[in-house]
Amino acid sequence: MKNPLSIKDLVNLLYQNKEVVEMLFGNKDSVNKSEILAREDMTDDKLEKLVVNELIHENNNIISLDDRIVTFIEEFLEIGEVTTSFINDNIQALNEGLRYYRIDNNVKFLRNIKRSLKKINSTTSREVMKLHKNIDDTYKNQDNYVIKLQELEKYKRKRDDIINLIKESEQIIGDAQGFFNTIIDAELSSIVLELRYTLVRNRDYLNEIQSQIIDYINRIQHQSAIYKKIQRLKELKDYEELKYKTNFVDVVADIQAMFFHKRIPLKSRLSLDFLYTDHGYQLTQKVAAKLHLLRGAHRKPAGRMVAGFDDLNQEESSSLNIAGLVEKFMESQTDLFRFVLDYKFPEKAGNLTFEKRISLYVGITIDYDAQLTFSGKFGSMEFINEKKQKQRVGYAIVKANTKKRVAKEPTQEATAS
Amino acid sequence: MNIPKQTPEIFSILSKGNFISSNGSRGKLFDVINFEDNFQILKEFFAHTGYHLEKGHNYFYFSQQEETNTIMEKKLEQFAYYIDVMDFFSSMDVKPVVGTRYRVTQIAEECYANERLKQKLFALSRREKMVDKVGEIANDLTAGGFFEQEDEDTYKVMDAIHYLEQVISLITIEEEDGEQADS
Repeated sequence: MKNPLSIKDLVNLLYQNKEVVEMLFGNKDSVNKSEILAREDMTDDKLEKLVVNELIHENNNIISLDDRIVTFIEEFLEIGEVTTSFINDNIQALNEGLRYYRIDNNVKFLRNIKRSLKKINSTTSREVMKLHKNIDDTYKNQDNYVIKLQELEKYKRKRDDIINLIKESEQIIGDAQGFFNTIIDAELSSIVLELRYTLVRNRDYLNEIQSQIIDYINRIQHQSAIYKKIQRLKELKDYEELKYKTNFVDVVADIQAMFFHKRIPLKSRLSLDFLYTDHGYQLTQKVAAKLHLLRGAHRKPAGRMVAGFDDLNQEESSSLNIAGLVEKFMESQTDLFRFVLDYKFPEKAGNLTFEKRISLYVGITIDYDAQLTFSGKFGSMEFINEKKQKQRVGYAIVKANTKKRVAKEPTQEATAS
Repeated sequence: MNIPKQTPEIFSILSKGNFISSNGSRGKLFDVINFEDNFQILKEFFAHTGYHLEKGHNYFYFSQQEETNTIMEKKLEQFAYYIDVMDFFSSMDVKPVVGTRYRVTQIAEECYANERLKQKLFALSRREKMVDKVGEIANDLTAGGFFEQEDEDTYKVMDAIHYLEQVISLITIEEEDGEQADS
């Protein structure tokens, strides 16, 4: 048996179960009884109490909020379906109030009139807002195309209803304006003024909504034409006629959207300055670890190299030993040019050409001039060049500086003529 | 000129040829571009990079004026593929309009029941399982920005689908009986 609930009881019950009410409001029709009972804030007794008081209903193990609670919350939060009946009710109430007040100038009726006017104001705005929200939501999120179209048609009708109600309200207020003027009441005039303003604003808003609904409906109908066209195009494509019977190629050629371009990812280089920072260091360490670059640090020494693996590098290394050559020259008595020309280089240095020996001679005179004596005399010699031509070459006679004296005279070096 | 702070994010999405739709997870970015003068500001800003910010019905994308033959060929091929895909979806009970949610399993089921759909599907994907075939196509559309995956099984149609429709409506068919199938 159900005992009648007091307001206090009702509010308390709702408060005690606020989490569950919120959850049930959030997912209508899809909450299992076990799911509710699994919650920490819910027990069998509590649930039983809610069911007995008709705050929630249980049907086939599915728990749902009572419709009155749902409507109450929706009303308050200005969500849910658009209903014109509220506005209508208030208009009726306003008419009634006006009628009674004309018969009997009772303050009680005046209060009713004011309340109705205020309510028309708030409900109209609220319903218009809801209408807009729902239209947008339907267009963007309703998945079934047929239902979407029908819903939009429905909202279009609702818009017409609201517009009519607004007109009706305006009519009533207009007619009653003279009557309102006879009543000296500051509050009443401000309420009326505000309502007039709201009605005008909402009418503008609804006109905007109207064009939006029509736009949406047109789009959807346009879409159904598109589907037919797509299927026709597909047919043509299957018959390989797409290129000949349509301007497919031209249309696609005109497309400039990036979407059809080859996607080249933008590449940028790492900032060197960044790599020098601590953060950069950490990053490189991380990358190195990932690529196993640090593995080398734990590697064992490599095995012995195969003998003669660097044969190709021999010439390079022999040319480096000029210091040794100069040292030997210091001990000899001959002049530098002769020495370099006749010196028997080790086998690994290979056979040095005449030109190479000359450049060696020049190099030594420049690099080691502190240890050399430039006599100021010239020698000359003849040789046969690669083209079998006789050539003469003159050269400065340079000897080892046995007294360690720094030679200051400018030198005139021999060059191949 | 005050450029929104989300500009780099916007650029990185659009420059990959993706769309920003109002009803997807990038709805926030859509709102940013759509806010006050931002569209004009960004259009001007991006123009310096050679990309043109374009506005469709509830979506944005980049276009670029450059054309080579290889791109052209690719475009034709790609769009021919989209005709196939769109044909597949528009042959289904639930049409691919903005906001439509498709469940892969549900599409696969419909294909089992409908021989014509089944054939279309088989022509589109070579995957073995029906569900995988549908998944492949859905992923293709997701990569293009026309769908968005909401969970493992569910895909939602984005505003960018208007783009494909727009291109399709641009194509005129010369019918033999002289009737023009314009839409």
